Amino acid sequence: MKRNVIRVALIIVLIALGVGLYVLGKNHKIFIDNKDTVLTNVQYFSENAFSVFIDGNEVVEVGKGKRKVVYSPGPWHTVRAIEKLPDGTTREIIGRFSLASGDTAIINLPVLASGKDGWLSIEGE
Amino acid sequence: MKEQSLTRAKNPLVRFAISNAVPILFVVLLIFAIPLSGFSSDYLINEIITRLGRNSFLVISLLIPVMAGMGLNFGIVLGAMAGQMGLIFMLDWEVVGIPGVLLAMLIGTPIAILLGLLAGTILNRAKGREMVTSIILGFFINGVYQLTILYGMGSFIPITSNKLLLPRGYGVRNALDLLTIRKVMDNMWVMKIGNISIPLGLFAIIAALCVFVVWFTRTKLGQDMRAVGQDMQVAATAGINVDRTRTLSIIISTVLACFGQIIFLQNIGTINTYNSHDQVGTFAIAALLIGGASVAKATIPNVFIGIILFHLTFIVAPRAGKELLGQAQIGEFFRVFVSYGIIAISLALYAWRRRVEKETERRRAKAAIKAAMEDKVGG
Amino acid sequence: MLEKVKKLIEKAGWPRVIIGLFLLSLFFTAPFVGIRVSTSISDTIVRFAMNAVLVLSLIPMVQSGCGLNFGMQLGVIAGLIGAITSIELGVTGIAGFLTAIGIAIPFAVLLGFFYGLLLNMVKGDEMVVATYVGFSSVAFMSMMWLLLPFKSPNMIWGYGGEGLRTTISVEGYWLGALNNFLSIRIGYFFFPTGTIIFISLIALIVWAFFKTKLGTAMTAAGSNPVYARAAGVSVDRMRLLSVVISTVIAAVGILVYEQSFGFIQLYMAPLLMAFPAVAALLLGGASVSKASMGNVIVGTFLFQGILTMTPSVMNNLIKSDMSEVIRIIVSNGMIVYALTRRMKVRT
Repeated sequence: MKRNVIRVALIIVLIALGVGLYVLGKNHKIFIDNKDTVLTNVQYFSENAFSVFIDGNEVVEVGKGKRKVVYSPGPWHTVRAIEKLPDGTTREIIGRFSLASGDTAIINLPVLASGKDGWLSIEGE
Repeated sequence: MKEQSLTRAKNPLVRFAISNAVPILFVVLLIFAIPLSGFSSDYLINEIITRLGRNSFLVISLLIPVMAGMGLNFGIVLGAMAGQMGLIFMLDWEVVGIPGVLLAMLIGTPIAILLGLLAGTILNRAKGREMVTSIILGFFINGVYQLTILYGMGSFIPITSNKLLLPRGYGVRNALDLLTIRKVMDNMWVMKIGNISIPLGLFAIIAALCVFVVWFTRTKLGQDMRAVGQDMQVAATAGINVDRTRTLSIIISTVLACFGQIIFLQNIGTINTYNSHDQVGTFAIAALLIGGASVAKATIPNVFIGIILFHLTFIVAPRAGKELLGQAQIGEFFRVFVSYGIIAISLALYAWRRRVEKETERRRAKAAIKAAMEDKVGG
Repeated sequence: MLEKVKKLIEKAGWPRVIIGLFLLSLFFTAPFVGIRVSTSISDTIVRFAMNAVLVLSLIPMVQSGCGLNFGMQLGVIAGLIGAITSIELGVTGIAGFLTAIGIAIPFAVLLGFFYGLLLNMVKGDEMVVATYVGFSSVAFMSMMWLLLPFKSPNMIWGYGGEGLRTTISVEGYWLGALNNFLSIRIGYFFFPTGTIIFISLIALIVWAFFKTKLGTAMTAAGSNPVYARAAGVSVDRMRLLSVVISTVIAAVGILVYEQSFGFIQLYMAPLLMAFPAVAALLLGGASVSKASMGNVIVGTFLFQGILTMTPSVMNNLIKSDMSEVIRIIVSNGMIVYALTRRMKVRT
C-alpha cells in the first residue's frame, strides 16, 4: 500500500515537473510594432526608430512603421525600448509583462513610449 | 590452461601489459597516426573534450548490464530512439533551452522504460544468446520506430508543427534542427584555458552520473546484479529474482541511453530522425572495449580512456590514411573496420575464455567424480 | 474441426501462417489496385531464384550446430572477388559466370577454413562472433577494394581515379547468364528456367550430401555432439567442414544473385546481407539448430513474395512506400522470435 502511494506521488511530482518545465521553456512569439495605432480614441504616431531589448538579450532595431518578430521563452518578460530622437538623444522606457503558455504578444512602441497603458496586446492560441 | 598461466605471470609489468593490451595497442597506433595526420594539439584537445562531454553518458549506460551478466547491451539504441522521440515532442511544443532538454528527457523516460522492459523480457527468454538477440532486437525496434515516426506522427500521434512534419501532412522530416537547444548543456558553465574551452557544467553532470553508478553498485539491487552476473544459479538459490534483476539492469541502461542520446544531439545540433541512432550501439561499445573493458568486466576508467582513444583514432584516421596511402577514404573505412574489429576480437576472446573455463570445470568435475568412485570401490 | 485447424497451424508455426495469409491477401488485392498478377508472380519467382542459393548456404552450418551464419559476408566476399576477376579477365556469357565461380571457390575455401577454426574456438557464442567478424570483413574489404590492382575500365573510377567503383555492371559479361538460359516468356510472365535448374542442381547436391555417411555425421555433430563423439565422429572437423561448405555455397549464391540483379555491389553493400537470408530461412520453419531444404524453399518464397508484393500493392493503396519498413520489421522480428525459442542444451 505504502509503495503504491509513493508511486502515485512520484508520478504526480513528475507530471508537475513536466508542466513546470513546459511553462518555463515554452517559446513565445513577440511582435514589436513601431506603427501608428489608435487606442481608446487616441492616435499614436510612430516617429522615430527604436532599439529594443527583450529580456536583456534580444536586440532589434525597429524602424519607423516597421514590425519585427522576436522569440523568447518563459512566462515573465521585460521590454526595454530606447527611442532614438531626431536630435540625437535617446529616451528609454521599460515595460514588464507576463504571458501564459500559448500566447503571442504584440508590443506597440509608440504607445509604450507615451507612457500610457495598452501598449501590449496578447493573442491566445 | 595457457590462458590461466598468462594471467598469473609473475612480472607485474607483463601482467599489466596483457590485461591492458587493447588500450596500449591503440596508444601505440596513435603515437604514429597523430603526427601523420597533421592536426594541431589544440584542435585535438578541444575535439576530445567536446566528444567526452557528448558521449560519456551513452558509454556509461553500458556499464550496468555488464555488471549484471547481460554482456554488451547493443540494445542501448532503444534508449536513443526514446530520447529522439522526446526531442520531437519538445520541438513540437516549442519548449527551448535547458527546460526543453529536461522536458525531452522527462518525456523520453517512460518510453525508454517501456522499451527497456520489452528488451529485458525478450533477453530473458534468450538466455545465453543475449548479445545477438539485442543486436537483432535493435534492428527490429528500429523498424517499429520508423513506422511510428513515418506514419504515426502527425496522424494519430499529435504532432502539429509544420517545421517537423513532411509536406504530405504526416510523418516527420528527416533532419530536424535543434538550434533552440544547441549546446545549452555545454554552455551552462564554460571555463577557458588558453585556446581550450571546457564545458564544466556538462562534466559536472557526468561526474554526478559516475557517482550514481558507484553508489548504485553498493545498493542491494546493485549487489544483486553483481551476484546474478557472477552466477545465475547461485544467485537464484540465494533468493534473488534473477529475471527481474536482469530486466531492471536493461531498463536502467535504456533510460541512461535515452538521456545520453539527448545530450549527444544537443551538442550536434541536428537530429537525423531516421539515422542518428544507427551507430549508437556500435560506437559506444567499441569505445568501451578499446578502453580495456571486456564482456564480463567494465569500469568507469574504461569509459573515459576508451572514449579518448576511440575518438582520437576516429578523427585522425582519414587524414593519416591520406598521408600514408593517398586516399582519405581508406582512413574512413579503417575507422569503421576498427570499430567492428575491436568488437569482434573482444567477443571472440570472451567466448573462447568462457569455453575454456567450462571445459576446465567439466574436466575437474569428471576427475572429482572419478576419484570419488575410485575411493568407493577401493574402500 | 477447430482442433484440426489449430493443430495444423501449430505444426506450420504461427509466423508462417500469419505471413502466408498476409501474402495471399496481397495477391488477392493486387488486381484491384492495378497490378498485373502475372507480373507479380513472375517477379516473385525471379527474386526467389536470385536469393535461394544464399539461403541454402545457411543449412550446413545450422545442421552442424554452428547456429545461424551471420558471417555469411565472408562467402559473399569470396564471390565478389570471383566476379570482379572474371570481369577483369573479360570472359563473357556462361563461361564468364563459371570463371567467376571457379575463382571464387578457392577464396571461399580459404576464408571458410579460418572462419571455421575461429568458430570452433568460440563454441556456444558462434552467432555473435560471426556477426561482428562478418561486419569487420566487409569494412576490411572496403579498404581493399580501393587498393587492389584491378585495371578494367568498366570497374575503375573514371578520370584517373583509384580503386574500384561502388557498383559495377555485369551487362555485357554475364548478365542473365542463368536467368535467360532456356527461359520461358508468356506475355508478361517470365520464368528464369536456367537459374531454377541451377538451384535445383545445388539443392540436389546438398540434399544428397546430407544423406551420405559424412552428411549424417555432420547432422549428428550438431544435434547430439556427445553421441557423435562416442560414435567416432570428430565434431570439430564436421563443424569446420560445414563452415567451408556454407561459405562456398554463399560465394556461389552471391554470383547467382548478381547475374540476375545485374550489378556487383562492393564496399559496404554486403554489410547486412546475412540478415534477410537468415530471416527467410527461419520464416520457412527452420530453427537455430535445425534446417531443411523445405525451409529454404518455403521461406525464400514467402519472404521474397512479401518484398515483391508490398511495395507495389501497398504503395497503390496507401500512396506511400512502406516496403522498406515492413522488410525491417518482418525479417528482424522473425530472427528475434527464433532466438527466443527454447534451446536444447548442447554440451
